[in-house]
Amino acid sequence: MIVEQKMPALSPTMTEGTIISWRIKPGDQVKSGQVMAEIQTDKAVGEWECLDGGTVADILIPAGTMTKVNAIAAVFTTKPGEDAKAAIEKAKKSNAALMANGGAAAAAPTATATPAPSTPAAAPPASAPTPSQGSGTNPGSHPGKGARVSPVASRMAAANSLDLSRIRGSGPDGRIIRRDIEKALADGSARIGSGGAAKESKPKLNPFRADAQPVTEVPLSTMRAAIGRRLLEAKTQIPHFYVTERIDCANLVALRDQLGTIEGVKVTYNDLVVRAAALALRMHPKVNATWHGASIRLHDSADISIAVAIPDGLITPILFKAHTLTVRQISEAVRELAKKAQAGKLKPAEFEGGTFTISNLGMFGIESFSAIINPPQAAILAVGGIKDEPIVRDGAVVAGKTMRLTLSADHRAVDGAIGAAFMKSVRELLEAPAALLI
Amino acid sequence: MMPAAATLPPRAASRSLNAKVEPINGFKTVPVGDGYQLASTRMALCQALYEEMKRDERVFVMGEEVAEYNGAYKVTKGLLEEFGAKRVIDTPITESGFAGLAVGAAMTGLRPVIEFMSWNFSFPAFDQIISNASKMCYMTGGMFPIPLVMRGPNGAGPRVSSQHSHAVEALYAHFPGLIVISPSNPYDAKGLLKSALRQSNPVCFLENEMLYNFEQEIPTAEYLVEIGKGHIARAGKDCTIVAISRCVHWAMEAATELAGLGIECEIVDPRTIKPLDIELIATSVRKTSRLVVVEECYQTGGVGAEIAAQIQERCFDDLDAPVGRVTTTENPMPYAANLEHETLPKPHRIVAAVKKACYL
Amino acid sequence: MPTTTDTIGAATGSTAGTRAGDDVLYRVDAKKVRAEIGKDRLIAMFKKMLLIRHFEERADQNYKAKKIAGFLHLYIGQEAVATAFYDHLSPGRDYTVTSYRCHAQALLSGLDPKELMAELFGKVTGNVRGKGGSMHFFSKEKGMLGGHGIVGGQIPVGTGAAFTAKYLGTGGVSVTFLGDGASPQGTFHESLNMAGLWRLPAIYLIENNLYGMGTACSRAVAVKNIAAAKAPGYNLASFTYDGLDLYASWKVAQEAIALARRNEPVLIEAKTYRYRGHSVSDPALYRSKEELAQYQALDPIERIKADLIAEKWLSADEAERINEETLERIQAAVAFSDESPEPPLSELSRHVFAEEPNR
Repeated sequence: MIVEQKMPALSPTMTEGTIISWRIKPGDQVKSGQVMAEIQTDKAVGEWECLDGGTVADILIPAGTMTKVNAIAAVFTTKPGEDAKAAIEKAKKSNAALMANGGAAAAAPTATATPAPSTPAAAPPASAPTPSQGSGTNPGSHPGKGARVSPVASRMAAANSLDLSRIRGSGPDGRIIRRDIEKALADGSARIGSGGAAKESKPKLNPFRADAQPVTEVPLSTMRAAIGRRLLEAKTQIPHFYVTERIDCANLVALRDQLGTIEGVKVTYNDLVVRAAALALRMHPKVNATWHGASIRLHDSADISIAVAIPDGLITPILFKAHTLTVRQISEAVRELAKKAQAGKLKPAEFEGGTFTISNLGMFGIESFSAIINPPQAAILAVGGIKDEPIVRDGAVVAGKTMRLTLSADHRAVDGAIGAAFMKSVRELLEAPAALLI
Repeated sequence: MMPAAATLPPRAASRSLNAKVEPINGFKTVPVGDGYQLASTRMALCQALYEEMKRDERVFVMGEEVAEYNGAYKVTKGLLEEFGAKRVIDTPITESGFAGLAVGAAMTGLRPVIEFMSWNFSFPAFDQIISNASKMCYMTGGMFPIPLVMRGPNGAGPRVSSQHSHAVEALYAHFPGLIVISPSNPYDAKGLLKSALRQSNPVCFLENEMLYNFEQEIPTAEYLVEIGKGHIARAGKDCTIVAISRCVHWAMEAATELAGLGIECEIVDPRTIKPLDIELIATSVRKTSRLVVVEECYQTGGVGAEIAAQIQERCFDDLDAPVGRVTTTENPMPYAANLEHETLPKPHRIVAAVKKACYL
Repeated sequence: MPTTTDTIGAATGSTAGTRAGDDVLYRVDAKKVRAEIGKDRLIAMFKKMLLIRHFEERADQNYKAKKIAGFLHLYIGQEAVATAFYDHLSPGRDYTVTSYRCHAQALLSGLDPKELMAELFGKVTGNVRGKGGSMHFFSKEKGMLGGHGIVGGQIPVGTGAAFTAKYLGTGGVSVTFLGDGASPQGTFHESLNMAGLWRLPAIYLIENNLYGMGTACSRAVAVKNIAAAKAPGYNLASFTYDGLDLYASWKVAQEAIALARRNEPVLIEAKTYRYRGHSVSDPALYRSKEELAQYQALDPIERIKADLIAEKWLSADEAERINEETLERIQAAVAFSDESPEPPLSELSRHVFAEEPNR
C-alpha cells in the first residue's frame, strides 16, 4: 500500500509552512509515532510525527522549502518491493496543482534575520504592518509578480487609493477580485496614506536615480506574513481605547530588592506586573474577555499571553491560570516559555488561547507605549520602564521611582470605566505590593 | 406611420381570469380588460401578421403548410380564411425555391414573409439567404434593398435529435446584411415582427417552438418594439446574464435559485442579435462586473463568443471575472432525454456558471 | 449545326409537353420572319448586337491592360439570343435576370455603356457604384434583376419576379437566363415546379453554349435536349432552337412571351456557342480550333449584316459606319471609366443595410 505523508497544519491558522529538516530519508523504515521532520509554522517550530508507518520511497518536499498544508511531502510503501513510481508522479502533479491553486507559493528560504533582544517579556509593539511606501512598491498598482488582480479590482483600487499589496485575494490563484476591494473599502484597510488622491497614487519610480540607496528586499517568512495579517486586522478592525496609569514604584522596588536577596529567586518587575494583572483580572472579569463577533466570552481563568521577541518576529506564549501562580512560579514559568520561544520549540497549545496579553518594553528604557490588541482578546497591557521622577508625596515634591502602564482595550467588549477600574486595581496592587505575595 | 410607443408594458398572464383560451386561436386573442389581451407567443405572432397584412397589400405569407394546414405550428392559423390563397400560399417542399422566389418578389416591390417550418430547413435555402438576400442591397449599390421576413421556430424542439435542433442565431448573424431577431415572449414577438415588416432589410426572425404556448397579457392597442433594442428582463447587481430566446426563461429559473444564495442576477434579453444592443449589456456589466452569456447556439463562434469579445473591448476594466458562456454543448443533439438535458444550457449549468463568475 | 440535330422538328409551344427526342428543333423561314421583323427593327437589333460585341471586346482588351480585374465572362457569339428576346420585352414592366454572364442583358435593358464599363473599372460612376463588377449589373428602372454569381442562384429570383407580376396583375413577364450548366442545379427544378404549379408568367431560357465552364454539356446533363426533356415534367411549354439564328430566336421569343403573358410558363433551350473561354482566364483548351472556326462561320452579327446588305436595307458603307460609331461609343465609355474616380472609402459600409427609412 502507498502512504502519502501530507504536510500537516500544526497550528489552527497554519495554511503553509516550511520543513526545516527531515529526520528520515529514502529507504528508512519509519514507525508510527516516530518524528519525521521539524516544521516551521506561522507561529513556531513543531515536530511532525508519523501516523502511518512504512518504508520511505521518496521525499518530495526538500528541507527549507515552504509548502502548503496538505502537500504530499513524502511517499511511503508498506510492502516489500512495492513500486511507488506512479504514486510519486501522481503526488508531484497533485503538489503542483495545489501550489498553483493558492498564490503565495514559491519556495522561500527560512527566515534568518538579525536576532532581536531576547529578554523575556520584551516584544516590539505595533512594529509590524506599516507598509514601506518608498521601498519599491507601486501603491495602487498591481502587487508583485505572481499576484493577480481582476480588471475591475485594479481599477477600483486605483480610484480609492488602495494598496493592492495589502489586500489578500480570495479568487483563484489568489486573484484579488471585486469583493476583496469592497471588503477593504468597508473596513478601511489597505488605504494609502490618508485618502490620497487617486491621481497621485502612482508615483513613477526611477530605479536608476542617482541618489538611490541600496535596498535589501527580504521575502516574508511565514511568521512575518502571519504577524502582518493579524496585526493589520487587529489595528484596523478593533476600536481601541487607551488608559494610562502612573505607578509610584517605591514599594515595588523595595519588594523586588528584598526578593532578590533570597537564594535561587530571580524575580523581574515584569513578573510582579504579571501577578498584579492576574489578580486584577480576577477582580474585573469583564476585562478578562474575548470578542467573538456575536458574543463576548468572559473567562474565569486569567491565561496571560506574554509577548516574547524572537528572531524575525514575536510570539505570545501563555501563562495558563496565572492567578493561581505565586510570583516565584510566574517567574520560573515565564523564563521557561521565553527559552522555548527563542528555540522555536513552543507547541501550538502553548501559544493558542490566552485571555489577556502583557507586552513589556521597559528593558529598553521606554517610558510608555500603546500596544495593539491580540485578538480575540479584549485588552493588552503595555509596560514601560521604571524611571527616576519627582513625585508629590504628602504635599511635598520628592525624588521617586515611577512606571507607566497603558491598557489598550477593545471598546466593543470593555467600556472605559471598566478599563479604568481595572487599571486602578493594578496600580493599587503595585503600589502596595504585599498583596502580590499572598 | 409608427403608432405611438405603447404605454402599456406586458404583464404576466393572470390565471385567475380563468379565461377560456383556445390554445391555438390564430390572431384572435382574448381580451382581459384594462387595454390588455391574453396572448400566447403563437397568437401574438399571428396577430402581427394579420395586422401588417391588413395594413399593406404587398405583404404575403408563403411556406410549407402555412395556408390550409394553418401552419405546422399553427402560427398562421386563420390567415388563409382572412386573406385568401393569393396572399397565404402553401409551397411545395422547396426551401431554396421559395426563399429565392421571395428574394425576387422583394426586389420587384412585394414584402414577402416566408416561413421555414423550422430553421433547420433553412439550410437548403442557405445560398438564397446568404448569396442573394444578405448581399443584394450592397452589391447593387443600394438599388435593391430586400424587404423580406424569414421566420420559423429555431433551437431545440422536444426530443427531435440531431437534424432538427439547431440554433442559427450566430450562423446568420455572421453575415452582414441580415437582421437577426430572437424574441423570448409574446409582447416582443409581436412588436418585433411588426417592426420587421415595416423595414426594408432581410430579417431572420427566430421563434422558438417551446415558447409558442407561453402566454402574456399584451396591449390590445397596436404597438411596435424597436429592432436593435434589448431590455432588462430582471434587475440585479451581482452578475449580468445575457440570455437569448428560450434561455431567458432558463436564466430566470437560475436567477431565482441564485437569489436564494444571495446572488442577484441582472438578466438582459437582447431580443435582437443583429444589430446587437451591446450598450445595454455593457451598462449592465459596468454595474455588476460579471457576465455570463446563455444561448442555444454552439460555443465555437456563438453569439456568446461575440458578446464576450465586444464586452472585453468595451468593459475590460470593469470585469471582475472572465466572461462565462453557457451554450449547447458541442455535440449534435442526442435523442435520449438525459443526454438532451445535458446538451442544452439548462438552469443548473447557468447556476454553475454564475457561481463561478462570482467566485463561489 | 455540328452538334445539334439536322432533323427538322416541329415547334412545340403547347403545354401538352414535348417529347425529348432529336426532332425538337424549332425551324423558321428566315425570309418570312425577316419580313415580319422589318427593316428598322432588324437594323436596331444589328446595332445592339454590335454594341454588345464591341463592349465585350473592349472589356477584354482593358482586362488584359489590367484596368479590369476579377472575373470577366464574355457573351461573344451568343448575342442573337438575348437581343431577340429584348426586342419583344418592355423593360420596366417586364423583368429579366441572368447569371454572371450579364453584359448583354444590361446593355439590352438600355443601360448606358459608360456606367457598365465604369463598373468593370471599379469606379464610383459604375452601375452599382463599383461594388459589383462584371457579374453584377442591375437596373431597378429597367427591371434588370442582375447579374448573379452563383450558378442557378438567379433562377428562383426570376421566379419571384414572375410571382410579383402575377400578384400585382401588371401583365409583365419575367425572363430568366441561365446556362446549360445551371440546369442540373436544384434551384432550376424547384423554380420550374413552382412556375408550373402556380402558372407564373415566367420564361426560363437556357442558353446552351455546350460547356458549363470546361465540362461539355454531354458530360454533365443526362438528356440531350434539356428543355424538351424537362418541361413536361413541370408542366411547362418548351422550345428548342438554333440560338445562332436571330430569326429563330426572335420568333421563339415572340411566341414564348405571348404564352407567358397568358400565365403559361415556358422553358426554352437556345443551342448557341460562346467564342471565348468561360471567363478571360480560360484558354478553352477543352475544344478544338476547328470546332470554334465552324461556329464563327455562323456568326450571327455577320449573317445579319449580310442579310441587311442583301435586302438593301443597309449599304456596306452604312454598315461600316454603324460599326465605327458603335466602337466610338464604347471607346468613349472606356475613356469615361478611365477618368472616373474610385469609390470613396465611405462607400465601404454604405448599403450593407437599406438606406430607405422604415415604413
